Amino acid sequence: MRTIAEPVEGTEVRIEPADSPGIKVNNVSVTLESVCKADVRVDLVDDTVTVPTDRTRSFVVEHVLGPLGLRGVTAANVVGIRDDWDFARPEHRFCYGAELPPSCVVGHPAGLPNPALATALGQVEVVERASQPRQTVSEPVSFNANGGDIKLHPREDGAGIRFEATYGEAEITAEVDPHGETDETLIDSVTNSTTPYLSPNDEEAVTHAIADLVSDIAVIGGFDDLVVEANLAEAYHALTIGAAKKAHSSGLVEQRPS
Amino acid sequence: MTLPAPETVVSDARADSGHTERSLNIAFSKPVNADHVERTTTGYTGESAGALGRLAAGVASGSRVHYPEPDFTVDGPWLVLAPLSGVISTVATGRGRAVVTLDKDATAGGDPESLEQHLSTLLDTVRPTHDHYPVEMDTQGVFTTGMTTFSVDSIEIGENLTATFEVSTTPATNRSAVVSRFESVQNVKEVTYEPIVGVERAAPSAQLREAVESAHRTVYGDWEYEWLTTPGVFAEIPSTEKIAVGAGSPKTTEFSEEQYESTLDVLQTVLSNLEANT
Repeated sequence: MRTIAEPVEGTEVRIEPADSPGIKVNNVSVTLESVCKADVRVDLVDDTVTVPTDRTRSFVVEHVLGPLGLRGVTAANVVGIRDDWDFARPEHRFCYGAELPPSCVVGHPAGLPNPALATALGQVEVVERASQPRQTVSEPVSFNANGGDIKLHPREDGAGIRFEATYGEAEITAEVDPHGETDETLIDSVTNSTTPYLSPNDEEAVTHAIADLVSDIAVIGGFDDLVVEANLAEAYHALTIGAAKKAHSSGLVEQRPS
Repeated sequence: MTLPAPETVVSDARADSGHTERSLNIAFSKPVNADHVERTTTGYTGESAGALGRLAAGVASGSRVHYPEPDFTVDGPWLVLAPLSGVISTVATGRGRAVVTLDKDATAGGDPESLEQHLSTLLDTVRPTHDHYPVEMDTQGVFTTGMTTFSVDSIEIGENLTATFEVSTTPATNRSAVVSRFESVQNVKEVTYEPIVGVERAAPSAQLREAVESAHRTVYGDWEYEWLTTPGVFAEIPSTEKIAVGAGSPKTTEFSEEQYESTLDVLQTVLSNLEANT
């Protein structure tokens, strides 16, 4: 597992080192089972309690999980640190209505995959404590949702994930290793690109989408070695989370011993 | 067809108010004019379609429907059925009034062109802005629902030029922020701001909140909160044990049978959740 040697801060969040594998957001383990919303954003709740309630909900987690995956951090505790309201944000209004603190919203206010966090993670020492098994799919997995389509292909052990994505008229190819090093220029361009809803053009939107794909397929879905072909449309987290869920529920996840 | 006939919905709703033994109260965001609603093979259509559909689901749910006037003296929790597209609400934005007086003489002695220019500046001043969000084209209220916004109520040209704005307020709105908004406008003589209805924030018990959240999760797969953009009957209910439940979309003349059934499903699930916890 790869964690950080000391805590770092980004916009809206502090990241703390972890002693065991996996990422937690506001004390909730990041798993496909904990995803309660996946469309224009991804929210998590604690699915281990009898009745999941808003008391454990975290909002827009992809803006934090993307940079963590791009930096190859596989074990960490994410803590929301925002303590004031911006009611223009729908998620803040949700929290105010549900009597939750603004720290439940860990997404970036400008719709970015937290460039300050990506920078901080790039400057802190990443400690590899024990190697973890890597995961791919045993055969291709296809999924459609909200006008988009995606295909997850198996890839050789240790190759990382190649994303081949389109959004509107734009396309991008990106190589990411969720357990290792990723190109610095790619990280910089992805984390400084705004979410499609706020993007000025398709090029910026599809660049941003790489962070979302890393969040949903690699970090939440748990995959390390894949080729991902994705034609993204609106509310595409339904597509990316849906594909990861389908691979798991179909028994097509192949784990390679470390 | 499970939808009741429009003409029977209102009479059934009036009769429902007498069911004092029922513990869950339901109020409605809008009055219904059944004469303007037609029942089709797919749902209700017409000016009051949404209001009638919500009323029909309330009547069928087995709750105590308050129609046409709510009786605020009764005990028990309240639900308000509102056109909130399936979301939950415990907050309603407030209302205020800002009156801005410009010196007409200073605007080139009331010259029409100059007046127009001053008015244009004034309207630019109240246009919403945000560092990150395209609020100027936010027709759906995705962002502006949570912002202090201004709409022109009236403009009078007499001894002075007086513009009156209706102000939609949030918990962050305060008098000095509203007044200072106009500071940069030339020839402003006076700005007054008067809050009319404060932001209403309910404080439902955990039992009611979880019953409603859980019902939405069961019926819609998830639950979301959003604010009501008009205080309405939600703000009038004196009890803090209240939640608005979204049924149907705003500004439409359709209420489908599917929306009726999902609304009814939510209401009946809330009732059974509350009963299971008593």
